[in-house]
Amino acid sequence: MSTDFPGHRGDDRPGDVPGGMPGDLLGDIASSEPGLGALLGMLAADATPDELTGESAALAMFRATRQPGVPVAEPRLLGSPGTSGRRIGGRSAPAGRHPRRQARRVGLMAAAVTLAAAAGFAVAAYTEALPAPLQQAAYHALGFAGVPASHHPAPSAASSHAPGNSRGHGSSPKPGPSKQPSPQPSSSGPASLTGQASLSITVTSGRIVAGRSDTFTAHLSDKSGGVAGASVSLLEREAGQSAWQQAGTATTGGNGTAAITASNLTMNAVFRLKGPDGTLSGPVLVIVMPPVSATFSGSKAKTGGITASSPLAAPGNIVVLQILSGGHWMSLQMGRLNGTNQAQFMVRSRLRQRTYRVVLLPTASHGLSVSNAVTVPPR
Amino acid sequence: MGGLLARARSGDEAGFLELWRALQPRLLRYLHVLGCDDPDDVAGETWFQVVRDLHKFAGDDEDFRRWLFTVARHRAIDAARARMRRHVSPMADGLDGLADEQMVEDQVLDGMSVKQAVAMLAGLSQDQAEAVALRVIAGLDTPAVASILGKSPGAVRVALHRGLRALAADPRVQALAADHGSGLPGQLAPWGGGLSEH
Repeated sequence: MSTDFPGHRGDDRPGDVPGGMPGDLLGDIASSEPGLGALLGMLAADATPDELTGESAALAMFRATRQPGVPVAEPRLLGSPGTSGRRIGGRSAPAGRHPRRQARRVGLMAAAVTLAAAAGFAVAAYTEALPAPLQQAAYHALGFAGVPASHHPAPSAASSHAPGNSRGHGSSPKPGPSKQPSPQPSSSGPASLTGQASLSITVTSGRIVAGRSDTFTAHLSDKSGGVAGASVSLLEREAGQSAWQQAGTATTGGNGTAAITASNLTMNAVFRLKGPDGTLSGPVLVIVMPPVSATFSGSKAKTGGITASSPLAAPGNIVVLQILSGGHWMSLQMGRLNGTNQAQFMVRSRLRQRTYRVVLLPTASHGLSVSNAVTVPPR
Repeated sequence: MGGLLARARSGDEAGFLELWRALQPRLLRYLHVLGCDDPDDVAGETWFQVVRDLHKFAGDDEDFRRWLFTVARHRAIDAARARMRRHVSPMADGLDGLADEQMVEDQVLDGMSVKQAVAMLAGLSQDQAEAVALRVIAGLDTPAVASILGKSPGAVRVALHRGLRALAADPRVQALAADHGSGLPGQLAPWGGGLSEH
């Protein structure tokens, strides 16, 4: 909800209460919806301990304000050193929470959001779905990861055109994948095209488990229709890499289509096709999800532990421990993978006999991944 | 509460403290619903202004609550504008639910906590959330809510109705029905006027 509240800045002097008006149906609605009644009861429930932690400061303010001749300080000033040490009605940290721990947690959260946001930004930029200025900025910021510049064609369509004025022959299929670095996609192979040619690419999945393969379908056409017998190459640019690599080749069939499979994908990557006469397709992104597992290690102590493990992720990646409650997964703790790609979460004794899972947050290199569910036994 | 108000006006510290204890939690919840970055700070400024001007106040309990929450809303607006002037990034705003481990534990063990209920209310649209908050948390009647929001009572009723329906449709709220049985609206406001028809 926004914090910029609209509405008039009317008089807030005391008094001036409008006369009685007909009532609303609040009570009726609450009584006819038991769950809602319970919720409203909580909203109006008695104070929780942390809501009354500013009592002494409030009393100090009352004394200072009500005593004739005593200078009245603004509330923020009362919290400065040399006075009560607390703000009026305020507290230095929520009750029951260690400030340093809280700060560390917020820091982790911020890092997680930054990474998640960066990943989302990267995904949009990869697919050239960003507005031109942002796309240009992404090109400079994430160019290492293969983000095309904004002047590249077709932000959403994974196809592009190239002028052609001759018709040639296609090459024979070649085995793939073979990764040979190439600074930029360039024209390859003889091909005969009539008029403007179009090369499109579609990806079968676009989101795969790390180590698996994905298949790309090419369609080459010109004004005469599908172009058969043309050689097309699949180019790959992994996150964090600056060069395009050839990931496979194929020759189009009778309808101008060809399928190429890229295997053993372990990192987010953008793919595009290169055809005859410099024909290039638009890019498509494949998100790779490293497997993550959650296991419980029993303990006789008050707390047990859940170990998150994701061998194909990277040390420092953020994992979130979630707990199942009322059919919903709720995030409980955050941590980072250590040097062996593991993270430990402690489970308090009062939260045993519950079901947990671990979520690996996305980065520019991989997508979000969810572990198996694990139920923590009673002590 | 009328006695407390009179005692506070006369400078009685114990009377003021009882008044503060009765209203401070509701004030904080309302400010949370408004999305304040620092509800404690805004509540402190609110109480400061109210105590400072208390000798000029003339009215009953309902009038006092309306005044208190009107001041709180204005201080919240000031705080939001100040934050915008400072260009402070509200990056952590949406992280409260994730960052508050205790709240998650409370919900898991108790079904739902006060904080969680307030967070759910804050998830409504702004006009709906404010209408419900002022009606339920502050315990104000519809004309008073309309006066604070600068809207007609009819518009407040519409926002209130839609907000309550949206809350009632939430699966988490429906799950509360099994845990708590039927709601008893008359119990929601300790001063007896919060949910009664006005």
